[in-house]
Amino acid sequence: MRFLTSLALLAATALPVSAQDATTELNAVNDAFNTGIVEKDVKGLVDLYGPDVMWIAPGTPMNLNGLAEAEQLFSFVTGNDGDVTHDIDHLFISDDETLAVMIGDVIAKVPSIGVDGAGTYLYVMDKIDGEWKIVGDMWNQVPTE
Amino acid sequence: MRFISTVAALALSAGMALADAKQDVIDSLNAFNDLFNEYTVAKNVEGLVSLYAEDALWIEQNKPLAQGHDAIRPTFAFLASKNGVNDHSIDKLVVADDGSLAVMVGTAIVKVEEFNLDTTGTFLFVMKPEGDSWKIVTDMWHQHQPQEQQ
Repeated sequence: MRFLTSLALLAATALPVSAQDATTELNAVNDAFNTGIVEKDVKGLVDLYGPDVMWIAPGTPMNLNGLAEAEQLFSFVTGNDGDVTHDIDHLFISDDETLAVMIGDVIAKVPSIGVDGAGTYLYVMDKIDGEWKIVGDMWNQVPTE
Repeated sequence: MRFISTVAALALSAGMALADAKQDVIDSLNAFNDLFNEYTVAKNVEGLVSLYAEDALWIEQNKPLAQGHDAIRPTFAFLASKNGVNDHSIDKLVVADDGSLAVMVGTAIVKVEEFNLDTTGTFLFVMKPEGDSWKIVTDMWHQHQPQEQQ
């Protein structure tokens, strides 16, 4: 009961928002990601992330130094003419639009080193100074048949 | 002067109430994790499945995304049938300011003696409040590879 009262109190202090706006904004972040890969814009890709990022690569423990990991990965992908495409299959957005989770398919191809993979990514996204930033990045790879 | 003092007192009181409310939400997420571990120890498969929304997303390592209780149940049923250990601890909690969405990231210790399995992994739960507790709406997890393979 106390939990419900606390939730009600927190909800009462939230500013009114429009979920449609958040969906549009989050789709724009995904578009910016795909464009950043095509344009080999490592800085633009890294700018999509917040200052503190939970980086959870397949088979590894969580690394809280995710921003450096992201820069390293995107430098590698773009430096090898790789192509990474994200789509959005599921979006969870908090009622107050301060937190969101984006889930979708990822297709990664780096022909120069024989990478041709697919999987699922999950972004945890926080509204920081009015902009959605990735604060958690977890993904898996699904072996091809 | 008295008016200013009254306003300051009200602001302080409101701030404390909000801090208490946020702590209640954190406490409830910790209690949820305790319940998950209790159900695992008790081999309560249906109890574990009930912690998930009916349309929860299940994203396990090396597999495409699946959805719903039928996708979730076999893992817990397998662990229960093999007297397996699946102990979760919380490493990070991210909660919306209004408490309407939360993300729990943690470490899972998984052991199945019969298969000589003794491993750790990372789980990520996306959670929504329901009634006086929470439901997992997404569970993404993987086991950690041995150090030399990372």
